[in-house]
Amino acid sequence: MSDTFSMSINGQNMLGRQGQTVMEVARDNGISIPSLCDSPHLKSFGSCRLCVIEIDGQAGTPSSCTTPAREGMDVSTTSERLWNLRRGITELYVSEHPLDCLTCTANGDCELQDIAGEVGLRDIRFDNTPDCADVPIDRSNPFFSFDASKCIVCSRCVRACDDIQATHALSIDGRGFFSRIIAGADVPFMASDCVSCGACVDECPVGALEDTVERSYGVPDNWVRTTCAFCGVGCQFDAGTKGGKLVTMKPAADSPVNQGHSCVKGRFASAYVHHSDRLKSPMIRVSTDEEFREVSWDEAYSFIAQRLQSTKEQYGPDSIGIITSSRSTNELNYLGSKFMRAVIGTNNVDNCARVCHSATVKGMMTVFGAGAGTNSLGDIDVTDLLLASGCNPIHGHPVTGSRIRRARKRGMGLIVADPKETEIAKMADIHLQLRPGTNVALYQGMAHVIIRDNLQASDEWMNDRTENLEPFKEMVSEMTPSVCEQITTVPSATIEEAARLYASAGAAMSVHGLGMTEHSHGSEGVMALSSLALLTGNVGKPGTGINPLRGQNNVQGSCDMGALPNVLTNYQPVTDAKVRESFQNSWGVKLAAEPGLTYPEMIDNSLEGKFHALYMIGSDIAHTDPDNTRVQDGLSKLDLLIVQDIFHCESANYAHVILPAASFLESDGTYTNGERRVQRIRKAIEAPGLAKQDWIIVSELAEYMGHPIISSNNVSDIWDELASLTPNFRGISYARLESAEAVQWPAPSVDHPGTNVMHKEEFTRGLGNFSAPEFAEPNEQASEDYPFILVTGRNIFHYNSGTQTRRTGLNEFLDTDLLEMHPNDADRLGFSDGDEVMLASPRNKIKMVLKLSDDVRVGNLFTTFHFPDVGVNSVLSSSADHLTKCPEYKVQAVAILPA
Amino acid sequence: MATDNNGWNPQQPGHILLHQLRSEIQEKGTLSQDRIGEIALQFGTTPSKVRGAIGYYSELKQENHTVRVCIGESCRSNGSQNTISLLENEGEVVGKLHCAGLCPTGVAVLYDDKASTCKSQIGDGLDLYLSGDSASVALGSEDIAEELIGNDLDNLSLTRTGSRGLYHLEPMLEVDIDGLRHGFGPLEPSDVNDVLNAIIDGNLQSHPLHLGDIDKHPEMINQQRFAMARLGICNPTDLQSQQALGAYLGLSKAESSGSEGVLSALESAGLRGRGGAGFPTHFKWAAAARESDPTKHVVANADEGDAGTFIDRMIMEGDPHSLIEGMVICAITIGATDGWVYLRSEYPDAKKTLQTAIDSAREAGILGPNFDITIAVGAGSYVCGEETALLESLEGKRGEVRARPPYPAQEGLFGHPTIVNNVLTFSLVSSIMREGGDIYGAIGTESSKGTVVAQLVGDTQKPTCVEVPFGGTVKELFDNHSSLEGVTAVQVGGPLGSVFKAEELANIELSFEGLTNAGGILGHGGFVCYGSDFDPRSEVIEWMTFFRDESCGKCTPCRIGTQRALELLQRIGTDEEKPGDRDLLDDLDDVMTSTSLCALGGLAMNPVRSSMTLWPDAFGGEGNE
Repeated sequence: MSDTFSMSINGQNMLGRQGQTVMEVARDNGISIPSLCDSPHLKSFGSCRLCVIEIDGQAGTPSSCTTPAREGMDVSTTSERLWNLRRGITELYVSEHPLDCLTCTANGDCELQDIAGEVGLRDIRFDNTPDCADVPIDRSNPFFSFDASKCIVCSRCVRACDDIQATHALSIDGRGFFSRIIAGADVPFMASDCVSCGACVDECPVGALEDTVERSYGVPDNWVRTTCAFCGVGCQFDAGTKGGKLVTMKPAADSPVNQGHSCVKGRFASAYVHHSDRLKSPMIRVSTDEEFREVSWDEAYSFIAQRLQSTKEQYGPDSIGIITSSRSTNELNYLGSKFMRAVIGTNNVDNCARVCHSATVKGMMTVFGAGAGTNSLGDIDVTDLLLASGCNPIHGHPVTGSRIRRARKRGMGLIVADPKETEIAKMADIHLQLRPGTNVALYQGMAHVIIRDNLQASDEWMNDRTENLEPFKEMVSEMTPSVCEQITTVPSATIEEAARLYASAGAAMSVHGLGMTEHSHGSEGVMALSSLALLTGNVGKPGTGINPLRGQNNVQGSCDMGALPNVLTNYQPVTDAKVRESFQNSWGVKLAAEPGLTYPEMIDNSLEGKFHALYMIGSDIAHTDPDNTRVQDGLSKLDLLIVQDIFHCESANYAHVILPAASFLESDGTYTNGERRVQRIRKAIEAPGLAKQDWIIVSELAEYMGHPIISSNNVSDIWDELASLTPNFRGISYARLESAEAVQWPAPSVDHPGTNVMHKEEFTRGLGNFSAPEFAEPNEQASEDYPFILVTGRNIFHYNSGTQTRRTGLNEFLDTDLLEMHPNDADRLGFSDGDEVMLASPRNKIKMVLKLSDDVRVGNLFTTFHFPDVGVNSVLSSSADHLTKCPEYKVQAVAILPA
Repeated sequence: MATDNNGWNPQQPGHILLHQLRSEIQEKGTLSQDRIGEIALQFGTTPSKVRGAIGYYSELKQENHTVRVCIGESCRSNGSQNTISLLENEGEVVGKLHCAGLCPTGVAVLYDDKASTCKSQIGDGLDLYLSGDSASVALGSEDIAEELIGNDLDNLSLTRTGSRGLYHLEPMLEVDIDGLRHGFGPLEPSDVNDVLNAIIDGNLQSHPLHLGDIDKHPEMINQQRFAMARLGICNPTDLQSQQALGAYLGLSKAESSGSEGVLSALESAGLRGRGGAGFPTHFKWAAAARESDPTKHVVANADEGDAGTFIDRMIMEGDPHSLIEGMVICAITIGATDGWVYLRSEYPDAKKTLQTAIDSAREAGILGPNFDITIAVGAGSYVCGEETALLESLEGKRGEVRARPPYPAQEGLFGHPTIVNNVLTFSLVSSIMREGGDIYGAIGTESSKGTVVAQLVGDTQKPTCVEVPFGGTVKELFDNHSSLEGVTAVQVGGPLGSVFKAEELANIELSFEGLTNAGGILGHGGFVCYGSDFDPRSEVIEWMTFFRDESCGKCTPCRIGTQRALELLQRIGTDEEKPGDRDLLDDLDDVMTSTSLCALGGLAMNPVRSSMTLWPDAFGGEGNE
């Protein structure tokens, strides 16, 4: 190959690749060169000077980390002179370092200590005068501490913050000998703009930046590769445990998903698994006015089986339903669906993706024939332009947020469509600060400009790959920039500029979040966005496509598994007799042909007395759903509510049975991330008490009901069964998932490499289908009584219902939901920052604390929904996407009253 | 000027940040955290990056001095410490600075950092010329100007020029008579009337300070002036007068010969960078020319930080168009879009003059949309004279040295191919293009071709700045242009240069190689003389303190090494000296010299090593072991 060449290090011949440094070639070939400032995760820096080498025919002792390797190079990394120099440098380091190695918390895990041993440092001839000896240790952060006296100023932390996390929260004060690491404007870490991702802690070679938990336990003695169970990015981690306890979560450098990076939750907030609130025993009660009592698994199964049977007998199978979990494994979601369909005999199967990306699935399915993200996260690294709509990845998907920031620094163009001036809006070329609920108009307005200015893809593309262009053209012809401005409030010139930028950037990629879907016309917004990609040929190529940022770790997988009322695995319709036949053959039962109920419909039916038993796994709809007082009423009318969770969640208050589940660290199985990558989770610790893995509970219950749904106790057999029923998964096996890249579906055969870009040659549905829904106003409209439009969203330090994150040190960052209001509105109403106000809707009134911010539009409000005691969701209406029932969380008419 | 990063890169706030921080801090003192946050937002960066910059630059701290005294080597050799004591006794609050480029004037004392206003007059009577160079002003040229303008000769014309470099003859008044420039100097204001009378009487020679036709003056005719060719002749910012003297002639030749032509002219001229490293200019330019990036930068390094050197300042004040011309030639050659002059803040006069010249070049269409020049002012850091630290500073960051490769010619300012050359180098480029590469290349020695601008200052009787061919010995240089009388030691090439005994200089060739072979460096051509009061021990402590204070702190050998070296030097030769201290210093020398990232750490031991070798007695011989 032309990009490799041969060279020699220490007399050993080896191959280098163009662009590699000598250090990198050496590392690839197992030759270790001492270094403190170099890190495989960071660009070479050349500051410690320990990695000096000698090159035949060249004077001097250059640093190997900054010397490009080249053909025929003859390098020596070891000679008496080199070791003398290294010893001299190490002597300098140690001359300003505390000499308390034995009691130092980094003892045994310190690169400086290792180097001192390696160079044979036996004596410090200089005076030992540490520079920062009197600087107090910064213990402000709940997860890590910073001790400046131990710092060797290698800048790895600063570089990690700049080049990996891209928050730029760290720098150096002073210069020369007096250099000192600082956070923010020289404030404690907690007071700075640090987001506690921990990349700096990971990089620190000594004991200066220390993971508080890891240090108190010492070095882990067991490591297990697994997948993070928070958001849908799907970061890979090595869980480090010791004596049955989780000690640390180390992000995996070899994963293409997170490339060694993590956010605060992934790295530090999985400690909730050890929280004393964990459910440890099954509990039952005959009626909800009784206290729960702890029972054995047998007694719990028996109780459930009895009630399910009697309900089925009395009201029929369609009075029973299941809500499986986007937080749990593919295997659980498959078995949950199988349990309901095969054991109970109903299609009443749904999962919590209903309230997030159901509109994405519907919209993309309509245009492309598949509801999944078309491209991969890695495409952010190569795209020319990113269009980010209704998402705030810095908070919601922090590792992807960092990836976007890094891409932005390399010069990637950025358009952000969001009513709020989010962090990524602040760093964008163009911010389309549209009125909430006007997405359809915005993208059609952009399409209008693209067509008018003849910037669309080639005729060849239109002819060969698309259909229904003419009706689309006709529809958008009316959405002139000025009409679009009237609807969206975005200036027409900005709309035109954005349209031209998107159409002419080269490869333009779209990512979107729930700001696209959680609308009364959410599905149609996704159709408009997808049609825009189709119009410009931005699908089926690297660095393009429509890519939903999945909120939960397994939103993709739970839907892929057929935990939906209308489809079986990989969106095979239950109404299709051929599909049913293949499942009937495998499952050995006859399947219902009619689609079942979505879960909001289950609640509606319960309120109407038509639905009687609900099995809810890893969901907390009593907290998370809009108008949740109504949801709670629906739940309390049930004859049987089974709540299977790791904590006593809000919904458990309405339950008859509580089943203690194992957390992700205590479970085996797979999750599928937002780029269709199926990845393993592996059991690293034992579940507390009697808690069991989700899939085991469901399968044991089925067995108890006389209808086993698993063929063995091997979790991989569940995967193999579902893969055999699903053409797109047939090539995926647990064996293939051992690689760090895992496999992105579709992978129809074992020799298929998996799919990083979908729709390359043709769309799943054949031709791309231009879809031109007519713009319609959102259901929720501001009125005289309810003059504000409330938008809800997330904060980086918490995760959705907060069931897990509220039980960690994250509460020290944020311990309540705040209501953000534009200062002009506050002025007008006479409110100040920090005031307590009443947030009111026809549903409810709740007290909230105001935070003034000119990031929100005048007339809009923004809040998070992580704290059940605040009760934000009780205020929201159950208005929803008319096609998918995805709630209109993003547009809610409310009033603000004095508290 | 755009920073070309698509508008978002917190790591590149741009040099204006430093400018704003300086003015706010000087005015209001330490900035609050809130204010730092606001500034960060304004510049698209984060509080830590703003705070990091504030912590790095020495001028981003509020100063409460009433006067500043230079403690650079040249001034030190002339007794800075005495001046400081005197001023303090007068009740002044004395701040210190390290070189204002006024080396030939004795100890530099600065009462403010504003640009001086040089008086001139337009008339059709006597045609008089007087240097407005800031060192000339420090030597009293402004008093002479006032005397001239204040006298009765209404119609005299007084043109302010740059300095010819013959500072020992300044203040020097020149009068044009029949195309010959007669000089008088050094003048006292009280001499002015007599001089004018002598001129009016047509009896020039009668005045004792008459120097004759200055172009025929022995001090001038034994020079070969290229970079200095137009210094001292006419108004530096008067584009027409400068063009009459050949300004932009090199540019039009470059335009017709094209990129290849310029590169081959520079190659035959054998031009090597005059900033100190002596790297062949055509190699560097050719590398940048090969890059395909549509955005490229040309940066003039005007951060002339070596005490004892000031030729860059003289050029910017006395012939700024030669710098602009050199930069435009570079832009044509490599295909550059943006030009920058990174200027040290100690040169307010240079900034003013250069800005005027840039504006007039823009008006004349020499600069414009295709290539324009921005002046960026530094904020107090010696290392920022190192090209990669300079680029960091231009990006608005802490001036930390970058590891090379990548070299700036491939990946420099904001990641784009960038040529960084010294002011003098650019000026030489324009004269080489004007005169021809072969002509320049025929001068000098085999590998040090052309001319050297030697700045002979410090404790010498004849402080001067001359441009002469490379070759001969350093002693001959002094003999021909200055004086070694009473000189004990000479430090060559700035504070990082080695120190020589005056008597050694006869054995050292005046060339890059000559100095290197003698264990030193030519640097930027500064020769600082020390008299009989030369105290090697206190000097090595001064040097190492300066290096410790100015170390950027990136690489370990320099960051910790300079502090440890300082501690050792403070002990060695005293009762505090410990056994093994000298061996330890030797070992440290090896580590710093062999492994430092840039020349600051790599050369820091030069003056120490040479002083301790040449004057062992000053260090207690073998110590007190």
